[in-house]
Amino acid sequence: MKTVLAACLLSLASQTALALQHHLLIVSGIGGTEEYRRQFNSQAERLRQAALDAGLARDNIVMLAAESDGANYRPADKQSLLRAIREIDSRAGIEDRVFVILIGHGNARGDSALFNLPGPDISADELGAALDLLGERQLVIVNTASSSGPFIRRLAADNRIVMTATASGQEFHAPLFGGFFVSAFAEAGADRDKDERISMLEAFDFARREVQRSYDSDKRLLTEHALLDDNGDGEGSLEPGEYETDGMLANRVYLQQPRSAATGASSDLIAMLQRKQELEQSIRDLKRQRETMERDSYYDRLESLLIDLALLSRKIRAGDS
Amino acid sequence: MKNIALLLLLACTLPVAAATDAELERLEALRLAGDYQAALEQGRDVLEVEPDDIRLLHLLGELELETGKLNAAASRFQRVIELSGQDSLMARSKLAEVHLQRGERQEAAEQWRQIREAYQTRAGLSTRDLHSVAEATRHLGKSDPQLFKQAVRIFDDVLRRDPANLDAGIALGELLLEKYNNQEALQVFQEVLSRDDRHPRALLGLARSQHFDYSSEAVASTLEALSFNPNLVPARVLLARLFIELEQFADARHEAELALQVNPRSLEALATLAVIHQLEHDQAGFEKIEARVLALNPGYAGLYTLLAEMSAQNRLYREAADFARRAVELDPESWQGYGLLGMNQLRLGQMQAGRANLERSFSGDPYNVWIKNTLQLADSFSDYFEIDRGSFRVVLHGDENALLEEYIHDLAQQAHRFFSTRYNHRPQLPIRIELYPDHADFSVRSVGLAGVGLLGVSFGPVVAMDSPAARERGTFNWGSTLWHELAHVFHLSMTDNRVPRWFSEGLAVYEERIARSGWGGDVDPGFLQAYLEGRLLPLSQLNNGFVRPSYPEQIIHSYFQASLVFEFIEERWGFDTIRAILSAFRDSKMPHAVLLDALQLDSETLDAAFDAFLEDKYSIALQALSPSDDAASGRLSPDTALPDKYFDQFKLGTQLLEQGNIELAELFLTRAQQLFPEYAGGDSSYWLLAQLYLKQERPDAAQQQLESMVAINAEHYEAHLQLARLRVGRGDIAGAAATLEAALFIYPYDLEVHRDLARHLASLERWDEAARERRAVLALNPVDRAEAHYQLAHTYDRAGNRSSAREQILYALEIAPNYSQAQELLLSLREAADSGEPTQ
Repeated sequence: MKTVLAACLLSLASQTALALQHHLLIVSGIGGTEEYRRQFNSQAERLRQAALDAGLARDNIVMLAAESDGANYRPADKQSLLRAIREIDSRAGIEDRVFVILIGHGNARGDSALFNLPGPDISADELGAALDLLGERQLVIVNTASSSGPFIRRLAADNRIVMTATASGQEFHAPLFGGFFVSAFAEAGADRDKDERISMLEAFDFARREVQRSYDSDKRLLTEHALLDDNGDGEGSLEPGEYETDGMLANRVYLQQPRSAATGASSDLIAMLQRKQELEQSIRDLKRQRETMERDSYYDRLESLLIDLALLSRKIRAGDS
Repeated sequence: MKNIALLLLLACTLPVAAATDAELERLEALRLAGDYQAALEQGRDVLEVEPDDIRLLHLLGELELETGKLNAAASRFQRVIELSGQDSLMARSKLAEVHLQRGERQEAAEQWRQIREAYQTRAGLSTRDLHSVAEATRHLGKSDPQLFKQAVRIFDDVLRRDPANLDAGIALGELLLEKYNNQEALQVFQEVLSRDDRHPRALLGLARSQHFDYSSEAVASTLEALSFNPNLVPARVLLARLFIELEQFADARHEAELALQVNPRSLEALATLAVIHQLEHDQAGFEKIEARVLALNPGYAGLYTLLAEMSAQNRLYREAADFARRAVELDPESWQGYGLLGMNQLRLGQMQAGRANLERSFSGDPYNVWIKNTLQLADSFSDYFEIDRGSFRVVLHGDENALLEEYIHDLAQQAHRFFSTRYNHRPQLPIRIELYPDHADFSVRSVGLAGVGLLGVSFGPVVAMDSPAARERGTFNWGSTLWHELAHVFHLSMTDNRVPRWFSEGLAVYEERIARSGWGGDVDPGFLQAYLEGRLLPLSQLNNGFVRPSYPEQIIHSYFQASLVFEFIEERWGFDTIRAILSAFRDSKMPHAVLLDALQLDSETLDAAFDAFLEDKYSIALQALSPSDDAASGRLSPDTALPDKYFDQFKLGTQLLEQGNIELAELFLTRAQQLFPEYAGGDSSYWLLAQLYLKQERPDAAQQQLESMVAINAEHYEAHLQLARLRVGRGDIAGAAATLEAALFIYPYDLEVHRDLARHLASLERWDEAARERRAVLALNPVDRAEAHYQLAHTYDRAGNRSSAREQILYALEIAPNYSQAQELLLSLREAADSGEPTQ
């Protein structure tokens, strides 16, 4: 089911079908060494490519890099960063969604944390104040830097998804989280629910688990604990989930540019899609009752719903093709 | 005691007179030198002149106590008490000791209580009095363990007031050692020896401390103690025990008998003799000694705790538990007895009873770090799963149970089938196999302490070992370790646990080599150099290499050497001879004689024949490793490197490789390999050449090197992965699968390896094995669980196992309801079920 139409229709349930635009600001901070410079720029480039593949308009992707001479990049000093946010504010619609991804090093002193840029670093407060300019727009902010934990408290707000690579300012070793977060979009494996899109929750979960696996494999003590906050309380969760304190919003937000492509679909197809949404909801409802049901009854009922869904999906695919 | 010689001289020349200080010193000198008879005779002569001399009475009492004249000793001490002189508390303490030796525990306790009462009511006690108080407090500590701390404080007080009180120092050291505080005990003994480096009892204390730390220096210290006092009974007893540990029972018996010549009532010496009879299967002799001990002291639990301890050391765990049980029946306060009972019950797999007895032991002796560690480990047993399947009960930590259980069971069943046929024997079932992901836990399970360097241990029907998570990747092959330990299960079962350590270890390593190529260790330059330098032990002394190694690598060398012995025996006499020897061990008193009888050789001829075998087997390498008069003195170069010397060729090859001179490096490394083809360690020519060839993009040559390497060394993880990739590149999927399966014995936690292996096995249509690998992927908790469940479902479907396929596909779709491939498989499974297609 790789067709554009099906992908568009699948997105109907969770995304506004109008011309909602995604804006992506990628900041590749100061590397300090050649190895990190390359690593950060590579992550930024991979993410840009993934965003393009996900349908983001080229003009809606802004790349700032501290140490790159590539044509796609603008300087990544603090003023440039603040300017880029103001530009997004001026061009983004009120319903648009903005992704801000910080890739680089950071440091913290007490509750105050910084993201390292050429010239003056930017603090969580300064970044928070700049992002507040974007008003009620839905924001996804990911800080993959070391000591990024304190950013979560300052940046968290309603209708925002905030991720940090570390749980506190004391986790100062260069984290692995950022690389795996980018891989979630650029490689296979993160699409847990097989809907051919990567939600922010899936990306976070993929990165978190791969970080753990990497440390385990090297027999090292885990020195980074990523957080996600999407309920606005600024606490952040180590293991967010669809039904957990944090994770509900992140489960519904994708990097993929939503499309308004339902126009032109036949009434039969729309009816099938509506039925499909009902079946998906029934499955979700059943899963919530799982703990209270006998195991065999639960799986018999699940199988029945899944078969209905599978048959319907087959029909939709056939119609699409 | 530096003036012993002078005092002895005085003893021989001075006439008998009243008990002057000089006379007492003279007698004390004789006593310290072990000339008890002369001391007693001369002391009695003096006593005739001074019948109420308290110090003399006391000294005579001590001499009589040390030589087993308990009634006489008791009279002396009683007399001192009656005279109510300055020495009454010490006399009470000694009198209590006499009662204790006779088994009169209540009478002894009464004396100790009176000493304690004096301590609590009398002011101005002398340091000698306080020494007695400390001794009494120590003994009463058996019923109230907090008193041990007080005893230490009182000893400290004595030594603060009288630092030259060597007896108190030694007693403090013994108390600390008794309570497992060897670090401080050692300091105390060293402090005493700094004041008198020839004090026999201080040297004995040092020896016991060294023995506590498994140091081979214990023998030398014991012998030194005996050189100053050849009649020091406890030193003879210790020496006898050291010989027992080496399974040299004749020497042990000699020492015990020497001890008994000095003190025929020495309970410790008699108990040691009983151990020897027991280990030599001499039931009549054992019962005679047992009766003698119990006649002397009907409540002497020490006989059975020693028997339990030494039985366990000789791997006789069932006997150890039986003896420990008798100890606690005899003395309900034998905390050591409960500890030994509990530890050995755990070794026999009696987990609940073992734990209960350990708890009982710990309640009476909370200082025992072995028991404490083991109880802490037992607390964590709730985190483990026990899975019974076939002949085995496998015990795995919850974190790795899902991943490892299948592999462990499969290999264990293979081993069981193989060994049952090979040895024509069926051990007691089920065999319990425990794997510990934390090496410290395994270590505690094995010996009660963290830090032991073992990989696995077999107690008979119970095997405990490190899980692969407990070790650095590439330092451990869990498959070969499990095979090794299961070989022990058979050896121990066939011999009733009466197999010499070297024999069982060597045979188990040999079995590893038989089982899989690359298992069972491989020869390294250090081993052959040790042979060339004469550091390998003759077979008659090979146990020493395991029990008391004299250089750091000797244990490893002994394992390998012992394994070669079996290669040698099977080659020359056949495996039937090895089986026959094992059978003969069960009833033999002289294990080494069994070996010689079976081979029809004397000890020297056997050693010579083995040396010839070894020299033949490694003739090229030995020549290449032997020192040369032509060795270059300066920097190695292609001109100076000796063409027939391994190290010259190898070192130069590695130097050239580091310098980037690949062509020349290949030349020298290849030559090194020709000179020592048996060596395939991680730093060997095989690995270096394989990397060199990969750089040169010569995959065939690299593959050849890696194939040769893993055929010898099955612990190099990267070599296996590289080889698998090369084999895939050449389309050898079956070969790649075999290599990855071998890699799993080193490190089973790599998700990608399981995925690759599953794909290879699927392409070979080996669906059941592919399903095993897909299950492993799931056990490793992949991020994409829907995909993992789908792949497993697909594999089950191909294997014809539709019910499992249905289960897995539902799991997949439960996570990802719109997963189109999974949906199609679900529909296909349903259609098959509806059409009534057969399934497994």
